[in-house]
Amino acid sequence: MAVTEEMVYDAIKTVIDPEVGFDIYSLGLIYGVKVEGDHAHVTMTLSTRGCPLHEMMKQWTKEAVEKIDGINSCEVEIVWEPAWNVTMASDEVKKALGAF
Amino acid sequence: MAKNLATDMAPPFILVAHYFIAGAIFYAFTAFLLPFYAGEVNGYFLSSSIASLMHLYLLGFVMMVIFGAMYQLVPVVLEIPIFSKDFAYVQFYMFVSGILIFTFGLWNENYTQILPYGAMLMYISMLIFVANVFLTYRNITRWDIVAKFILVSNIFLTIGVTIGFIIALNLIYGFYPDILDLVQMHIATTIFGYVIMTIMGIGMILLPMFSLSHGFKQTAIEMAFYTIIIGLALFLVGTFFKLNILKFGGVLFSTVAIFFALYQMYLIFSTRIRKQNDFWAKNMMASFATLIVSFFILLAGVITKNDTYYLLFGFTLFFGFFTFFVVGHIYKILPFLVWYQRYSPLVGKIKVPMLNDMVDEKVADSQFWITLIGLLLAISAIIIKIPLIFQIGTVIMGIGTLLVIYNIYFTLIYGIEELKNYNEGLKDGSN
Repeated sequence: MAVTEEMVYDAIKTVIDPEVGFDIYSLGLIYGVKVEGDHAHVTMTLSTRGCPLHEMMKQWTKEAVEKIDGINSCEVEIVWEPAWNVTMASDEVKKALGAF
Repeated sequence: MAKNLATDMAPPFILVAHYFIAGAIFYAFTAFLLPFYAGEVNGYFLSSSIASLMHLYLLGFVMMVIFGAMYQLVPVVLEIPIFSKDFAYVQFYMFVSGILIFTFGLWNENYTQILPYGAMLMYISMLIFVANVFLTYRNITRWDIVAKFILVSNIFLTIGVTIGFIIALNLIYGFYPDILDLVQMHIATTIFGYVIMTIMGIGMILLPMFSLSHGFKQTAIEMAFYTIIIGLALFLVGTFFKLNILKFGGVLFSTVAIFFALYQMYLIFSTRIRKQNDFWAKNMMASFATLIVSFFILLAGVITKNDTYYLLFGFTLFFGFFTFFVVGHIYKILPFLVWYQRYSPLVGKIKVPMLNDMVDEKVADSQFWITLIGLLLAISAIIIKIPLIFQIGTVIMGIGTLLVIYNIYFTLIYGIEELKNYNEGLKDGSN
């Protein structure tokens, strides 16, 4: 069975930011996912540049995606443009953070 | 492959823990001593016993935690590894011994046989620290405002500790008659040039990170950066050459710089997404409020030339602004360090805690209010000159300190038992 982008997003939803307490998909940190055969490419950002969790988040995302049957490798690219803001987060996150 | 900035480049957890644990012990020690200073509320603010306590607190707690935090943050913020981790260990042991010997010598008024040795140890340890920072900067490629603040604050630290060491030598040899001028330059460069500039710089990383603030302009902090450099330079030249107009200009520029920085912090807080006023946010608000109050007290001192205001200024700045800022960040940085050490290898394998779980929030919240009440009582006691109230206030502040220590312990031991069971389960195959 071919791996779909939805399956990759589901895997990414298991990665939690331990500071904020939400998964990185709900936080709106994932900008895009591409699947080509057994390779996945994830484009994401972080809420703050200079965050000590920078490399760990990248690594966790890569590991979570590579656990999917049918994915052999995953490349995670961190971008800073467009800069993250809370409008990118899910309503649940916005509500929990008090952003509403 | 990109380096793992938080691990490959930064010193190991145990090194940063050295600084944080020593900082906590010095914090407790100062809290214990503070009530015994009740009689000083009627005294002269530059007594050697007050200077001893202030050094114990500033060096042992505030700067100790800042040094530890800098070893963790500099590689992440500047995206380059620390020049030498070994330097950091050597610095730590020399710094701790230096503080103990120096403050004991100062308290004992033994300026010739004890104090100079402590001063020398501390001076060398600080030079090791700044050398480590300067050598780290050789490979820097990203020159943002935080990098500029850290660099310039360390230049001021070099100047400040050199003046401090000259003061120590002057106490023996008496080669410079105006020791008060040296003391003023020492205070300006270490407290404003190093501690406050460092707080301004790393505040630009820590405050937006913990409050999730975005979209604010940085013009105010850039203005603060340049005005504080001009202010301190004018103050130093004016004091050294006894040109009061330059000295006054220096105070004015430095004050404007602080208010630019405060405005920047306001901009960050006004755009924060995390609206909950948790223990961190409360500590930050109290720290900036006490900073503002302390400057109005200083202004009153300059206008009235009344020593009580200078004592009050120092007390509010040290035990208000510095305490709230440092304690607030201990609650954030220490859980991260412990979490990283203990749980990051287990992400995806077991349910890992959130960073906030590693702080006893109720205790942290109570600690904030207790410390604030104690501080307000102690400040009132200095104003109305009633030693008993000062004693009550500082004992209450001491209870707050004990609660901070409890939370540090809570964080340090968090999950040890659970992980021990997990690892035993791995060995016998049940996990």
